[in-house]
Amino acid sequence: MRMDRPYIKKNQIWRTNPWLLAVIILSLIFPWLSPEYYVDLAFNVLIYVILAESLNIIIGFAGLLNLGHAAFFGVGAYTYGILWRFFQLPFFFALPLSAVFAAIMGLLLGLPVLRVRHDYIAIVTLGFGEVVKLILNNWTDLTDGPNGLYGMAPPQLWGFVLRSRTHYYYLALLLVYLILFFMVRLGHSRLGRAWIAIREDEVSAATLGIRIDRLKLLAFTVGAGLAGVAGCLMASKHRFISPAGFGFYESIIILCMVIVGGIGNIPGVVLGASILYIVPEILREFSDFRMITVGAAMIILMIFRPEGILGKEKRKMIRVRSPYS
Amino acid sequence: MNTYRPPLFFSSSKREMFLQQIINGTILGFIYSLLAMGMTMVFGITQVIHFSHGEVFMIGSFIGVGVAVLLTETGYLGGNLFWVLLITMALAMTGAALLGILVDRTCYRPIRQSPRINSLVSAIGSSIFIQQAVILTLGSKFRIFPFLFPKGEFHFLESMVTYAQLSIVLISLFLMVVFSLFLKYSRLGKALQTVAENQKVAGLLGINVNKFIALTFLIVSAMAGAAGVLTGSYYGSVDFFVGFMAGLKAFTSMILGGVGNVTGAVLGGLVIGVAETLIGGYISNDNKDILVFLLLIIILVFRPSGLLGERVAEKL
Amino acid sequence: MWNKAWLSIFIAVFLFAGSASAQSTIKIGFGGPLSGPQTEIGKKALSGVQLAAEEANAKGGVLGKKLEVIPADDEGKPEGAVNAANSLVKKEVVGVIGHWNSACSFPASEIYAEKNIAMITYASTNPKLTERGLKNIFRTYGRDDEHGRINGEFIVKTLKKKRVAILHDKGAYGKMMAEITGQTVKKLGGEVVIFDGITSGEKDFRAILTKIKSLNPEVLFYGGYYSDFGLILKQARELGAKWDFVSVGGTYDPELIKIAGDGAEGAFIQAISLDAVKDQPSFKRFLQAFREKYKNDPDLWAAIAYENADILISGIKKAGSPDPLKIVDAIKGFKDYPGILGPVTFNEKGDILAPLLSMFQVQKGKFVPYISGLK
Repeated sequence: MRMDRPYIKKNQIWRTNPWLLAVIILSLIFPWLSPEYYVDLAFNVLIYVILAESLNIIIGFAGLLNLGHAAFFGVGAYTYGILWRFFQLPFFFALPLSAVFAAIMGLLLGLPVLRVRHDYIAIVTLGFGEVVKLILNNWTDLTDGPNGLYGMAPPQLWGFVLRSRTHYYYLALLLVYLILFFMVRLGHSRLGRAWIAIREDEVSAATLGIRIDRLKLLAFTVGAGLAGVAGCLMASKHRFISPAGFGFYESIIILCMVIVGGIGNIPGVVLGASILYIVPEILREFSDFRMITVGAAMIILMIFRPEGILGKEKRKMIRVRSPYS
Repeated sequence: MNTYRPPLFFSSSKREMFLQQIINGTILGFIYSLLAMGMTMVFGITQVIHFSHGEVFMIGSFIGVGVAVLLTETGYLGGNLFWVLLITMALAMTGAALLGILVDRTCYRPIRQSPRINSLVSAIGSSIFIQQAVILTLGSKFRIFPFLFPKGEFHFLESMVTYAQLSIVLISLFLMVVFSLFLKYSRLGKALQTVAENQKVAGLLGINVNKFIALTFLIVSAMAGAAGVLTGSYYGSVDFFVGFMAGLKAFTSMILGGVGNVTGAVLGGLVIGVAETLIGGYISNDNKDILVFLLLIIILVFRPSGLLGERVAEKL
Repeated sequence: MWNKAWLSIFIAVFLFAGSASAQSTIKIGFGGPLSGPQTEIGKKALSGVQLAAEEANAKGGVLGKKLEVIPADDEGKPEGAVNAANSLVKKEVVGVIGHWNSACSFPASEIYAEKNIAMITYASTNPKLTERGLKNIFRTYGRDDEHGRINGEFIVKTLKKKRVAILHDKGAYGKMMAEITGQTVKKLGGEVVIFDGITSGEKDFRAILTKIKSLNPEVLFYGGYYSDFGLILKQARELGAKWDFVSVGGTYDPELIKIAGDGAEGAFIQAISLDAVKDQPSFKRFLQAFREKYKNDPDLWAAIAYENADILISGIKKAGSPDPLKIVDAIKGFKDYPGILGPVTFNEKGDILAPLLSMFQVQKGKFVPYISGLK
């Protein structure tokens, strides 16, 4: 599943990665093997897998460093929260709307990003993230500000109410598999290859007729939309959202998940998200050291293993004239 | 502690408020400028956004507060504030300079040849690391910074400028002028400009590029340290979070003025300082940050290279 | 093969040991910020709870078993609170002292409610917390709407001022205080000349203060915490402001005076304070015990958390069983329970009747009670 070798025959996946089947089966029977607390934990991990993969599209496929990704997460969550607050809109109607609104926000962010110099993208996205959080906090009529929104009812499907942790876990698992499948196909498609071309060498890509601006916007839109899905899902499970959960630190953690896993590396990012969520949970007594470890990890990874845990290509070569160098 | 006598009359005229706001904003602007200058200089040479510059500034404040408290409480130097300020600044600048060089050596230099996005990530990591290190070692409480400026203020046109504010402006201007002269007229300065212009050619000319980059970090970090002392004493308190906020304002100023452009950074800092103050005072303090961000975006849409244009080396 | 065998044995022993210990102690949980900007507060509160547990253990424990305090860090964030609550429930605590931020208490209380675990919060003041019909929530600190009303009345009726400028830090606590105070002021015939927010962590408030100065208010009310308010006071005095300042419990801290310097003189702050009870014998005993164990003084949160833990422990004893639901009922039934900060009775919503509020004024660099026993 390497992003730079898109042409893989389907049955090769099972041959080169036989453990994949074991992982899938394990994930399906997991809730029956574990106590409630772990099912909850797994659900949260899945949410972050979605978030990290959605950022992976923006950074990994299109090469745009987004430091405000938590904003899309927040927009998705708040779309559901607000629609519930005023219209009592059920979950499965809110879910696509969350994706759409978040995608629109992605589009809105993409527009200024196009105009500015490549190095500014980090700052602009950072600013955007803070601004969205601020808007969520200040627009009290809509969002009830810092008090947050709560009480969203559990999802219902033709009368069947998803109330237990196990139900939520399977819902999340289903979404994760759908998204992963979608991303793998995307990576192999013309669109995916065009994105990679933009990432590696924008100027050359343009000469090949690739519509740079449109595809960058598309990356933001899709990445944001998926993050919105994660937001809606999280909101319905935790039943409480507030602007505080969607700030700079969250964006950095999601970024770190992508980096640890390997930028552009789909299974790597799944692993990265899992590690970066589970390890701090296990080491709760050392929670003081959480952020400093994140900071150190970012530096060390970039120096010693920028391709991430599962990455195979070495990104240490000098690139010519690309936004990456 | 300091006592201020309020102005003799209490006017609420619009003109007074406007002028006072301009003054408020300008002082802020000078501090942003000091930081933005450093950041833009680093960017001009390395094409990396030095995210931890704000944290270097913060460390400058912390060193400053430690030294200043020590000096004022032990009564060393006979309480002569001028010398206390001088020594505090000198020590803070030294400490900050060392930190800056350390950050370059550990976080940027090893990956100088790697794709830039790697350096960006490393920069963010270094910023978070330093901030968290301060929280863990020095705690999250505020430190009280003694007031080291002359007391009192002078009034003109119904507004007020304190001597503290005046000192900040003078010291900042002094630092800026010294820096510019150094760049323009000294041998080291000219070599720096060469390196900024074209690293490969500078290397061919026998200039040790890494050494000069380290020199750049030394200078800009020292300036950040000075800014840290000035800010700490002016506001009276120091905490771990100032780095993040100051860093954000510095980036914005740098981009606004045009990256790599030192004059642009100064201008950018002043514009942001004044704009922020005017928006907070006249439109809405609640939503001030949103509006300033929008302002930045709008300016970038019309002038993508910033107000005064960019000065960045193209790597060939 | 060998390694797997050893691993299995090790795991078996571990699990067995784990389950064995679960039966031999009664566990109570503590939820609060043990990392992040409010770490100091969380740690102090935890120390209060641990002291209470220690004292109970010294007297033979509870229901014949030792008491164990399980701390859980919510990082001051709602997501952290969810994780903390889950970890406490997993460890089978019979009651929780927590949390600090209202934003944390909200989601945590729902998780505890699933298992009917009592949650006694020592600081969450958002009114909605007890308005949701959950039976397991108790609080001893009081509610924002009450505090806000008291503030508003103080400004208009006691200080007899009409023109009020209101600032807040955009946080859940500060903004709600500001809003309710403002509503009360307006209801009582006063005028709110400006209602605006500041960004916590920014140092320079001159822009908004200059604007407020031009509007000529008589009082500035601030909802938020001491770090920002200290700077506001300092800069307001520097700008020559002649207003009265009124603020709320979040700013009641000696650090405020250090940061503000002379600017704090004359400021009014409404808070629950230990000074009002310092002559009570039960409080004095607590003070002495705390000093002995920790070698410094307790702050407000340590005291309230201690009182809460005390209530919980007595609730367990009264219930006579570690069943959380029975403990909830036991606590509900307390009438004038002798807490170290005064008698405690809870109403059906779980709010404390007659919280201990006072208005303080900063005089010569110290907090001095101005009016005690506000209602």
